[in-house]
Parts: sequence; structure tokens; C-alpha cells
Amino acid sequence: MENPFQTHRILDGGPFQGLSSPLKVLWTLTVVGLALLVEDLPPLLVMLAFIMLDVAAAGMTGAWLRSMKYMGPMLGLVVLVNSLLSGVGSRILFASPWRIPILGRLTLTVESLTLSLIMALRLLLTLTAFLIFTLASSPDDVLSALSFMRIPPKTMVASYLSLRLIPTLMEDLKGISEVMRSRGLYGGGEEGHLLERVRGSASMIVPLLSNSLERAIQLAEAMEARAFGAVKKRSTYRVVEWGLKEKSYLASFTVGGLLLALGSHMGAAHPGRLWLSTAVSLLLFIPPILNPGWRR
Amino acid sequence: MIEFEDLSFRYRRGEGPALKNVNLRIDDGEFVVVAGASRSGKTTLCRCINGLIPHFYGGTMEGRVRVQGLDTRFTSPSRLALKVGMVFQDPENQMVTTEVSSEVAFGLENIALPRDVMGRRIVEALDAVEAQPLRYRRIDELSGGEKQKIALASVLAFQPEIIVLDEPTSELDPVSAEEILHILERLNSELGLTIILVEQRLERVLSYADRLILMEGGEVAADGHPRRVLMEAELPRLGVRMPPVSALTKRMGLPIALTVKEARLLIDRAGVKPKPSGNPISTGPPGDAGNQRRCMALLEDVYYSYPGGAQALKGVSITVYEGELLTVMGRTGCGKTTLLKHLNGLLKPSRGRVIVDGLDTRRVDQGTLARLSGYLFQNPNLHLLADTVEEEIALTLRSRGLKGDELRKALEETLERFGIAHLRDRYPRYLSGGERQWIAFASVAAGDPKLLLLDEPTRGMDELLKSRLVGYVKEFTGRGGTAVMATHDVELAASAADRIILLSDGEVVASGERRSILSKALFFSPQMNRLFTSLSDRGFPPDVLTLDEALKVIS
Repeated sequence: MENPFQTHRILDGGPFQGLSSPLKVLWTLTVVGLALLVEDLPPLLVMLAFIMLDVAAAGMTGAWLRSMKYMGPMLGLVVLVNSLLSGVGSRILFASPWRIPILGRLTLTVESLTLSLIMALRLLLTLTAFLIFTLASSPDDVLSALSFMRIPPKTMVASYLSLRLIPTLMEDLKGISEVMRSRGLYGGGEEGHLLERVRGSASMIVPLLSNSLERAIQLAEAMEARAFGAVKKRSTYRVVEWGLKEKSYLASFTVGGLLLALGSHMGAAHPGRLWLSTAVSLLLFIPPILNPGWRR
Repeated sequence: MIEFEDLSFRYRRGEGPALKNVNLRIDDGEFVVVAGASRSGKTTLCRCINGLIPHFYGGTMEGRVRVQGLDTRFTSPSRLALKVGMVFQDPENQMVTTEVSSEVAFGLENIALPRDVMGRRIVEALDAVEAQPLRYRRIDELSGGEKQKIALASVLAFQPEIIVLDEPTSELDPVSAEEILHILERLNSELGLTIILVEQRLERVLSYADRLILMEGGEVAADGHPRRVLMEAELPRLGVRMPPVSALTKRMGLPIALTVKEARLLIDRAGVKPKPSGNPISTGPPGDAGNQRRCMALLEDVYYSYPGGAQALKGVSITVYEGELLTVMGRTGCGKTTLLKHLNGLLKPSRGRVIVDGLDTRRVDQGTLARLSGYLFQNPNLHLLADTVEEEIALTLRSRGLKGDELRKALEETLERFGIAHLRDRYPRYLSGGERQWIAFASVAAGDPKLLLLDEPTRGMDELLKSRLVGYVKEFTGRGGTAVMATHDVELAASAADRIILLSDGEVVASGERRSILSKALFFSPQMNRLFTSLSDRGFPPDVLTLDEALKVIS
């Protein structure tokens, strides 16, 4: 089974990938921020439509669909829990004839359904933005972006390493599972009945943590031997592009973000709200697709 | 210059001192090889040179170390990094970034060098290790040897005066190891860098060394020119294997040879002749053809591709006979591990079939195959799952259905048989690399499988543990067990294997009795064979592989 976190697979060759690394970070943060701020369904739907254009332009449609294998059940759960258990709204669509202990009667209303879709859309937008960012950036890009943004070196390298070591962790997990299967122990968390799988997965945690700690010590030793922490302000080898293009993109994201945030407070009945969200989505999601000169 | 003055050191959690009263002086430009058994203090000695001890590890330190006049007690590792570069054993765990140029730049960024200076240093460092074409490559795409070159370039970029390397070739195949050692030799002879190299396989490195230091129990047991140390020191007691050609010339009463060339000249000058009675070396079974033994495992036209990756096996057909030790060799990434994983069903063939003890691996569950075969993984850290050595062995025994008194009896018997009863309450991860590997091996063998699958089983082991492992495997195959071992260790294969399979890029390129594979090969040949191949025009048989065989053919 292909695991999307197994390696730092970078999908090269799209306009988004050609953005400067701080810009990629800012774009991702803007999308995530807006997904959390916007409270209405139509603007979120517009944002989703536009972000899917980014996914397609970056050549990530296949990866996005594969990631739905993991995201889909999570989104389904969000919809289910929020729509049936939030208890908001008065326009009842469905009410269970029986009561469930502790939870009471299950009721589905128009409002709770809308709320659950909003929550699911927020999650989907956030995950999609991170998927685009992860597949378009190497951990080295993140390091240069954080460095450019003047994040203190120790915080910066710690954040960087937590990203950089995810594939290694997944490799370790796979290795431990193989060891357990080859030693006939709990099916390595992958085989046997449910209880056996749970026991197998649980017994992998300690060796996994021990390995990670040991690797962390070895890596820290290697970094120390290469003068990490010698000076307060490190220099950077990678050149981070930050010219007129990058500045105008940043302005576009900022204006787009502000307008969309304002638009979401116009009220649900405002006729211009959908047009506004479409216009500002253009500012947020179209520049990464155009990105003039990305083929250089 | 590096000076150790009455240096003793104890780790915070250490049971005893890791170093005891070490007094050494290493001059500029020396090429020093350090060897010794597991836990003899080799790595600790290295950590003292670049200040990781005491600054990173803490512990109790007495005496002092001075590096180019700097007392390491009062100089931080980051300052010492400008003088001393250190390359570690595992290339994976010393890479910080994901791209080659960023990796080499990492250290330079830490000392805030300007970008233009960094650019020049990166190019120079990559040139010095012959890795310029790798400059824009991703690190996860590199082979083990290439990664180790990048690790070396990363410290060379500091332009240090001393380079300390802790078993940098132990995980590399012979070709990659040769490349790294050649680079070190050039850095030492042409640039005058001091090289301190920890290495177990002396035959690889002594030709370059000015000096050999042997460690024992945290003390310097022998120190001097390699020839003198090999002549005077009790190497087997110190857990060190003498290079085969050195052992041969010593046994013949000749001066100690350090290289094949020296041994040839010494034998020529001494007028040594081959025994007149022809070739007394037994040729052993002829390979697959004519083998009358029962087939234990069979791979038939096996193809395998990893998801999204290249083909790892391409039409591999192999028969493994009962009671034999089949050795699989080849460069890193040639498909050795993939092949072993097919034999215990961890991987199923994309095409073709694998039969183990009459069972098609696609049609039986992993549990059945786990009871049939024992698999020793390359990395003992993945293998060790329990909190104590005793529990580690008990895990295997329990998986075989043992309980109560039966379990206790089998546990005691296994701990005794593998000589690990004294380690029973120890946390396996606090043991040395070689000991961890030995515990992992014991945990596999404890299940008494029919088929042993060993992936680089001697990784990190000293000579003592290595010979115990070979002894166990020989005894196991002697009583009808079957073993398949993947290894880079040519000397091990020459002394232990019954048959050898050579893989290249997922294909079997040679297969047969060990002598036919290891004779006259360029890299996959033992040192003794290189000597006797060059002596063949004097009437010596060209297919001698080991010291014992050499002594039989020399008059």
C-alpha cells in the first residue's frame, strides 16, 4: 500500500512549485487562516472550487484523490458527529424515535447539517492547502523560508527536523512491523483479528519511540560536531527570491484574505457576498497558477 | 597535534570507566587506525577529540585532551569543529537536510560564513570527495557510499586539520568502502590532513596507516607502526582479526606484510615454492548441478517491484539446499534484502513463485512462515523490542508456544548457549552495536527455525562475536539447518559460505561454489585470493581463499 508520508515526494514542474519558499508558507497560512475565519457555506464552497484549480495546475489531482482515502473517513466522521450531535437549529429534518443513553435523541436539522458541512469544508481546505504545500516543497524549502522569516535558529531547525524526520519515522514503523511479523508477534499490527492488531500496534510504540530518541541523540551529536549553535545568527546558503513579483503576490494574498474575511461578515442574506468571495478567491488562488516565469 | 594526558572517562550511566589512563600523542599529518573489541573505548576516544566528551555527553572526565593547543574541557565542540571534523558510522543519522548542497552548507551556515565563501567551499569539498556530480541530488536518492562521501564533504567544508572517522565503511559494500578509503588516503598524503580512523577490517586500511592503536577495556593495549603492532600484540584476545596476508607471512616466519604487494615480494624473495603434490584444496560441492540434497527453498523466475519504485528483482531463480549456508553478495541496493524478505514471506513476488519447505509463500500466512524461518534484520535497533535481554529471548520462545517451566528451561538454555546470561537484565539498547546484533541473532536462533535468514549479520561485531556467529551457523547447518546470509564481508564469505550468489541490479550474475565465485574477482575476492592470483605464474593455485588453505599449498 502506498503511504503518502513514506518519502518526501516532491511533485516537480508546476507553477505552484515555482513559487518562492516564503511565499508558499504565507499562501498556506492565509488559506488555513481564512478557512478558520469564514463562517458561511457559499464562500467556503467557492474557495474549495478554486483550490481544486490549484491542485490540478500543480499536477496533484492523483495525489489529492489518494489522500482522500485518509481524509474521507475523517470528513465523514466530522459531518456525522456535528450534524447529529450538535443539537443546533429548529428546522428538523429527522429525529430518531429512540433515545441513546448519555447522547439522548438524535436530531438532524438544516442548521446542524449546514454547520457540519462548514466544519468539513474547513478541514478539507486546510488539509488540501497542506497537501499542496507538502508536495510542492522540500524540507529544505521550509528551512530557507523560516530562515527568511527570521525565526530563531533553534526553533527553526527543530520545526524543520520534525518535518524532515516524518518519512524516517514511517520507515522505522514499517521495519518494526516487519520484525514483529517475521518473529510471529501479534501479526506486526497488520494481521490477525482486531484485538491482535490493536495489541500489535500498541507494542510497536515503545521500540518506535526508543528508536526515535536514539536517532535524535545521534543527529544532535552530528549537528553539534558541525558547529550548530556556534553563532546566534546563522547565514543561509540558499537564495530566497523576494522581488517585485513576490511582493505583489503577498499584496494579492493579503487583500484577498482581508476582503474575504470582511465579506463573510456581510450576513448570509447579502446579495453581493458570493460575488465578493469569488473575486477575492481569484486574488488568492489564481496567482499561484499563473506564476509568470516559473519555468526558468 | 592531539595530546591525551592521563585521560579517564566514565559515562553518566556507565558501569565502569569507558577510558582509563589514556596517554597518546598524535602528530599532524599522521594516518592512525584505531581497532579493538566492542566496548573497548574506540568511539569514546573519538568523541574526546572533537569535544563531544565532555560537552555533549557529560560524565566524569579526569586528565585532559589538547587539540592543536586547545584544551577540550574549555573549548566547545562548535569551536573545535573548525579544527576537527567527525564522520560517524551511520550515514543516515548524520544527515540534517534533504539535498546535497544544503547538507554541505549546513555546517558553514552554522558559523555564519558569507554565501560566496560557502559556494566556493562546497565546490571544493565535493571535488575533494569526487562527488561534484551529486551536488544537486536529493540525499534519499543516494547510495550508502555516496551518503558517506557527502558526510565527509560536509566536514571537509570546514577546512579542518584533523578528521576523525568512526567505522565509516562498516555499512558499505567493498567497492564503496574502497572509494572512501582511497579518498582518505589522498586527503592525508596530498593535503596533509591528520586522519584518525576506527576500523575493524584491518586488511582494508593498513596499507594507508602510519600507526595502529589497539584498545582494550578503555586502555591503549598496543600502539605503534602497524607492522610492529601486528607482530607483538595478541590480536585474537583483543577481538581484532589480523589481515590474512599479514597472518600468512607471520606464520611463515617472514616479516609482516601489510599489503598483497608486500606479501608477494616477501614470498618471492624468500623463494617459497608451492607443494609439489598438486592442489590439495578440496573443491567442495560444484554448485547447483549435481547437488543431491533436499531443496529447502526455491525461487522461480521471481520479479518484484516496490510500489512506485524500480524493479528490485528481475527473474531471479535460486535453489537453496537443506544443510547449506548460501551467501548472497553484491553492491548496496542490488536486491539482497528484497531476496531474503521473499524467503520468509514478508514480500510476495510480483511474478514467479517462492517455495519454502514445500509451501508457496503466496498461499500461506505469515505466522506459518515465521515459525519455519528466523530472520535477522540488518538493523538490530529495529529488531530489539523488549526492555531486557531475557525478555527479548522470551518473546521468541513464547511465540513458539512455550509456557511455564518449559519456557523457563528453554530461556536458561538459550541464555547459556549464546553466552548472554550475564546480560539478562540489561536494556538491550544500552549495549554496544555488536552486542545488540548478537542479542538480536540469539533471539532469532532461539526459535530453532529450519531456515535462518541473516541480513548483514556481522554488522558492528568484533572478531570475537563474528567467530561465535560463524561457529553457531556452521553448527546449525551441520545438524541439517539451512542458512541464507546477505553480506558485504568478503572474508566472512570466503571462510564460511558453501555457495555464493552474486546479485547485480536485481539479477543473479553469478552463482556457484564459493571458490568459483570469489576467485579472481576484482572486488568481491578475499585478500588471500588476490595474493594467490598474483602468484599463479609461480605455480601456486589461483583459487586459494583462506589462511588455512594458503598454508596447505605452500611448501
